[in-house]
Amino acid sequence: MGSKRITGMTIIKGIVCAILLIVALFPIYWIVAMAIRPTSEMTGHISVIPHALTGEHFKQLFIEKGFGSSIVNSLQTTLISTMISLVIGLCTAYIISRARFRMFIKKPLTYWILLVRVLPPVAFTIPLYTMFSKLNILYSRIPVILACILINIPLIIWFMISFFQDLPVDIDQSAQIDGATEWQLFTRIILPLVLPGIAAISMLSFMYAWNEYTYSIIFVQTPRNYTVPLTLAVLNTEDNLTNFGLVAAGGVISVIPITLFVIFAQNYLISGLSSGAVKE
Amino acid sequence: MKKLLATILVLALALALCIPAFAEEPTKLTLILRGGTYGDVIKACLPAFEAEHNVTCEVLDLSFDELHSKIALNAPNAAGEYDLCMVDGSWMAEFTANNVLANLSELGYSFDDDIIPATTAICKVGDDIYLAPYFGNVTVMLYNKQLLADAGYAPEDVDTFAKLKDIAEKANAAGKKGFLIRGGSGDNIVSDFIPHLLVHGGWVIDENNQPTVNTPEFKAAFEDYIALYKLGGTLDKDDIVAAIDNGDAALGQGWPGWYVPTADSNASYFVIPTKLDDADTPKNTSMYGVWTIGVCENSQHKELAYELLKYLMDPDVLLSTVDLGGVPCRYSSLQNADVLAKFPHMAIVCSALETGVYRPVIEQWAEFTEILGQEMDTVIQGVKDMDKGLADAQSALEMLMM
Amino acid sequence: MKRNALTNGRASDASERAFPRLMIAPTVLVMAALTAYPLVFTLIYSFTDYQYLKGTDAAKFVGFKNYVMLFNNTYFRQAVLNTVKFTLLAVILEMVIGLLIAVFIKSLKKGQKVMRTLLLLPYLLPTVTVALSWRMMLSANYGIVNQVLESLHLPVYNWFMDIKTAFGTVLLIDVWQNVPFVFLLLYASLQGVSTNQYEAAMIDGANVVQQFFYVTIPNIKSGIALCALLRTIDTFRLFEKVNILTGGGPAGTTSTITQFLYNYGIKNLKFGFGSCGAIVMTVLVLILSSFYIKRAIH
Repeated sequence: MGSKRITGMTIIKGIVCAILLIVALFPIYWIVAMAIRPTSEMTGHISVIPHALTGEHFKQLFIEKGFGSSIVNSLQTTLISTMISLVIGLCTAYIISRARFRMFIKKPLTYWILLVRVLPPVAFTIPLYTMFSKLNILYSRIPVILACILINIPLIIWFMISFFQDLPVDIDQSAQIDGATEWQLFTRIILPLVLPGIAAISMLSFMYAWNEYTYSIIFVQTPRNYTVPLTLAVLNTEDNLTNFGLVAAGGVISVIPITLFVIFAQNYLISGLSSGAVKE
Repeated sequence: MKKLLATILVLALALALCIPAFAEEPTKLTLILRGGTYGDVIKACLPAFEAEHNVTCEVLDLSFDELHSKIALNAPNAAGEYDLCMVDGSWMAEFTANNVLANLSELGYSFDDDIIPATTAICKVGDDIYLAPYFGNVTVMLYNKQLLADAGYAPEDVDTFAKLKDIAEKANAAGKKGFLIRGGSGDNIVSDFIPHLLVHGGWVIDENNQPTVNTPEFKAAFEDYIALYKLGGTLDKDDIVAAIDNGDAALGQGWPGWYVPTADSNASYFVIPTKLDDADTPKNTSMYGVWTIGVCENSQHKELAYELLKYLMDPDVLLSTVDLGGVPCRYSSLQNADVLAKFPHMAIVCSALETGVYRPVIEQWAEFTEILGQEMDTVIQGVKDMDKGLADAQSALEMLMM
Repeated sequence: MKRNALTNGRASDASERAFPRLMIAPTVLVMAALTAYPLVFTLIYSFTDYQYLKGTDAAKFVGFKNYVMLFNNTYFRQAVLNTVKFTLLAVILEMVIGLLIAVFIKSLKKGQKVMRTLLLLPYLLPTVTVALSWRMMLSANYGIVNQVLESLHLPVYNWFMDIKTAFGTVLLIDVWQNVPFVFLLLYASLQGVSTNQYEAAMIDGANVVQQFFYVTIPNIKSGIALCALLRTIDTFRLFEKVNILTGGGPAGTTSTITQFLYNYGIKNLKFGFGSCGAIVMTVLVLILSSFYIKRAIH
């Protein structure tokens, strides 16, 4: 009896798992399926599984639409902004987490960072645009990089504070007795200890910067600065909608970095995402 | 674990540092165009120009709204990013009032006789030319050939709105969609409606630029329009074209740039009827949506951009765009014997271009359509009743135009 | 900073004191330039008729006119209502579904890790890509969804343009994308619940449902609260999906506050009016997130 019930339960659970996976993954499957089928299979009755495979959409995307340069732009803005925000954010998080650094600015800064985390981007876009316009840097990639930094610094600081706080203060003290300077203590001892945290938050920052759309849509002026989400959004304007294959091919490329993270470093990624709940 | 991390970090650093080295030199000319056929025909003409002038051109093709805001956002910058821009006739007033466009007359431009005169009216402020009419977009009625024949009509017979309704009713009775209207942004909704308003003798503003959207004419037109909508539905542009092409729907208003009919295509278009019913006197009901091209005032390569504009407006270059779906505003293209043999509908387009009606030239037009379109959408969707919707629109527009 | 590190002995006292300041300076600078200045700018220009094409010099002080106009605008009120409705529904749905999935996955004997990873994917995708994929699936002419519904003889809709379905469709897509985040957070919280408690409950004769309500929920209360707060704040700012999928239509039924500001402030270049909206939005978000901030600071 018992074993029968367990098998029954197992089957039900298996079915629920299957349903969950289909609901979660079908839209992703669909974009892949649309990207690799010939255009002729996209009208009339559409089969769930493509009958023929083709790389024409990818070819067209790179040759006619210059998608390659969008990828380069995206990688560049994403990596540069992630680097900068990591360096800046780690330093600040460390200072905030250590009670021995007494500064008047620490508390207001902490509040301010949190505020920036929750404020709507629409509050910043207009003034930032006019500011960049006056500084004459709208032709460059700097505005988008700055926007990504703005998004990521609060995340990084907030995330890393708890990591630094988890390290026992004894470490700091013994290092100082050994004559290490503050800088040595920070770079040689503390940072290596929080590497997993850094890995996790780097991936998240990369992801947010890679996906950034709200600021870029206003800031980016020229096609040579277009990032992947922007190019995708343009492909999706009213006039191109029928060109499903192209749009789908771009969509597939846009998810590659995230897929790589999930495959090779999912534990870091997941700990980055779930830290909020665990650390509370 | 540390190794993996270190590798990732090093790789990331290397990439970030290396990539700027690959950064390409800034291209010489940047074109900001309307996506779809309008921009595509220009793109097709570029290689010859690039070779001749040893420049590279970069093209940004955008949707209607984004094109407007990108051109505008770029305008006050000291060093503009865009050189040649495509401008909808209805933005003309706003752009010239705010110094967005370069004065083409000062650069040496003048219109020749070959350009259909009516299309140049929106391109000038006084005697100064700011834009050149590039793509002769004028509203036409798309129809499905089979469904029209099923309803017992030949395309040339449909000369009244009453007949449109009859066709829509018959198609609807046959289980198809009778008449499609266009949804989406305010401009889409308003433009789609304007021919219906014109045939009822109404207009959106009076001679003092005051809104007239709560008038008996407007209301009557709107009621008829909604009656047509009830025989079909509201769709996106691409879905309208697809539905009429594949026989799901009989009629829908469109633009020549949307669809290139051939002898054996499922769909085609005719001029929008000019009369309400047989007893009515004909009116101008075709609305212009000419896409014009101009040079940005803050362009860094004004001379070269002007050269490009002249090149694109060249009769031979324009003629070559017809095969790609282009609709030049030149007699030499539209009345060319070869063109007419291949695309007989060009005769229709040509006469429509000569007699069409413009959207009003007011600085606030973009906002005007946003407000009016939103109110109309609410009424069409049945959220507000018509009297309230039109009264709200009227008062909001009066505030705008104050 | 590196220079400081290399110096040694007493000479470094001064640099040791400067250390925290140097460490914190970049953040302060970036935050001041990228957030303090913009907020002040927005606040000031919200009282003017600043039109972007006319420039800041031509902007005139108009007092509270923008604010009065904004609150009198029925479409703004509709957008606020939509946003509140959308946020409430989305967060409730996400929390319930996410919690159920978390509990379910936790109960699996095998494959927890694989399921966790695969189910997480939707959350990680770029919003633009998500919008595109759904748009393709729900297209009125070539969409797979309508095709399946038709073959089952169910009614089909023009999902994004029909007033009956547009709001629900955008809601569904947002929920689809964000349930994984809730699931992951709650799943992580569940790891902290000791099995002893379940055993004790079982001995007391509690069934699965009772265990859920008397053991599971109380133990992950704080996780649930935090998660709901984070989701509320993020959903309240919803923009990308709406802008790509419906632009706020039909008849304003999917217009959120941010979308309204984009349509009436940014797209029209009426930056004075837009700034006023941004300030109102900021205040609303601040009220919402004051709970979160209070909590996070302690």
